[in-house]
Amino acid sequence: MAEKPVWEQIGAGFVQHYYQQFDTNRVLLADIYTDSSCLTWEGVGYQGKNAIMGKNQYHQPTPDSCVISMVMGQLKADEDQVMGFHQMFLLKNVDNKWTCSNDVFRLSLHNFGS
Amino acid sequence: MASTIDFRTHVDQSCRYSEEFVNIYYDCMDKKRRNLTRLYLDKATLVWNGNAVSGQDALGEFFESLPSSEFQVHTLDCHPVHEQATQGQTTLLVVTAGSVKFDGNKQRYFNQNFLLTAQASPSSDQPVWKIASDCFRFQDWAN
Repeated sequence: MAEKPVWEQIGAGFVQHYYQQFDTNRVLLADIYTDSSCLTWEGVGYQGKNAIMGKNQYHQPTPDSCVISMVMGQLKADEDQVMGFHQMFLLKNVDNKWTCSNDVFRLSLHNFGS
Repeated sequence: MASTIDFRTHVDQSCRYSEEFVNIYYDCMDKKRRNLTRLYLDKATLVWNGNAVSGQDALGEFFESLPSSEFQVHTLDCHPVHEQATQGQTTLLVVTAGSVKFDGNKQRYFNQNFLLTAQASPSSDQPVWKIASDCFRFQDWAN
């Protein structure tokens, strides 16, 4: 049987790799984007490796059955320069509904790391 | 900052081109099917639910074989493709999703991707966009 065409091999290999990284170790997806890469995610555009990977989220359970979620990202509003931000949510289950009991948002205006 | 604004302008312009193109494409598909192949490069490839169709003649035959259609586009996304990837050839990636009713069939959802390439126009400073690659899929393929 003839070998699959090279574009089939590249395409199938990439897709397999992409979704495996997405599901298991999303941070490593940074390797496949460059600073000129573009991502459109549900209609919101991101350009560059940092902006794309800035879609970072971390979630942990708390001892009293809440969920604490931290989001780090970048915000661009109108023509202002891009600003880093982080946001923390405390999610609490009340009568089978998840409610946000606390929400802290901060722009990272002194982000010396970047 | 300047390059950011330039990029934004570039993206906005690409989106306008894409919207115009998509309007023409589905209008042709629904109402002027015979003109549809004019939107394709001579060596363009269409992959229709996994079946490849290449070249003007084959494309013409293929589109004639499809029942008449009513397309509704629900979403349109567009990226300018970076020049590094296309050896300087101005290229747009256009992704559409929506619903289509082919005559005698039930309404179905679809996704479609286009790679559009800019051709110089003799009569205008605006480029003419031609399809280099077109990939169409019904979304509910299992049914």
